[in-house]
Amino acid sequence: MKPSGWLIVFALLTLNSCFEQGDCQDQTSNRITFEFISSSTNKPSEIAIDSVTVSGVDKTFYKGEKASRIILPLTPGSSNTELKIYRPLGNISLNISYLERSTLLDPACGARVLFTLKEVSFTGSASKVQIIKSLISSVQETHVKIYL
Amino acid sequence: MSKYIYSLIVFLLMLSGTASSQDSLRSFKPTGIRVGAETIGLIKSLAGSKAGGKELFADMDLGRYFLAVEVGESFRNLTIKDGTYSNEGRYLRLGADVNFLKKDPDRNMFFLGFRYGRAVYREQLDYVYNTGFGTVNMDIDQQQVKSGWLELTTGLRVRVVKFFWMGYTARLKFGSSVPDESPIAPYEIPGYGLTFKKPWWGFSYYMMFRIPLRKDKALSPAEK
Repeated sequence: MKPSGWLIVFALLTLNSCFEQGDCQDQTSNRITFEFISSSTNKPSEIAIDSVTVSGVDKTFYKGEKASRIILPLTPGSSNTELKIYRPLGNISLNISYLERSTLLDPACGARVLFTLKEVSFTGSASKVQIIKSLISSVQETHVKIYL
Repeated sequence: MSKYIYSLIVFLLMLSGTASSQDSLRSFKPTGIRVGAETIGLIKSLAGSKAGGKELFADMDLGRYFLAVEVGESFRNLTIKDGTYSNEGRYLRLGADVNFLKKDPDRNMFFLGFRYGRAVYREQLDYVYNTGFGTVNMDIDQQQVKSGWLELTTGLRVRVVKFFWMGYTARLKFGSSVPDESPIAPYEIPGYGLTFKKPWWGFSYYMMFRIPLRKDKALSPAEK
């Protein structure tokens, strides 16, 4: 190929990169979604909850509610979060360890934290806990299943 | 990264094919070394800009082929929404160029080439993160971050007066690699640019001096 041919290829590739711009689309979330599963039917199961507490958050969640899914925040600036689910049929304590990674989207958009689950351990009245999706990006998805 | 290296090897084989057909074994002994400095980053630094750097350049001829080395350091300070970001580091690029003006009596040069770049840098990100249930101050400092990338290059080198040269290099940068599990997802790589720009381009303008290593045989009338 002649040098002029290489220059044209080079110019086209360069032009392509000029149009590839960053944006403010935020694909991150600090909310993790748990789903309660009945061990006998292997299907989602609605349970009665007295309350749920999250370490580092000064608030009580799901007080006196019934739910088959609960959405709770992870604590940024830490590598793990402890959750306590108080319920009439026995309490469950969960210890969630994760990797957090700050990402600067753009100076105008600011930075976000991307959470990736590493391990979930439990004590109390659950039979099994399983990570379904480790990257926390949307509350619509189930990240952890709790088998009862 | 391997697909980029494969593409680069194909590119270089094609380049060497176009070059070797007309090359004689006239001389692969170096006749001189050019050393210089990049001016755009230097001017930005001197002007007190929030971003800038210094870069030194050197190349050596082996016939129509030139071995090139570029060593630099750069910095950037940004005010972002709810915080600040800063980056500083050093980089090294190694590569080769092929001169397509091989019959120019002044050794002026139009070239195509490649570079492999490596950078070691530090990033600091300080911002306020809204959890939805309050705010947390995130103050992260990550050091000794390492990245690599590839470049296709083209440009000119022009002899201005006896030993003084000026020229530019335009770069198409691609195949950048960053650590997967660092506390900050790298935003900028010194010598490369923004990590999410793939491919990305760059432009360097150099002022150089050529130090002759041996007396060069003048081109014969037939070669001219």
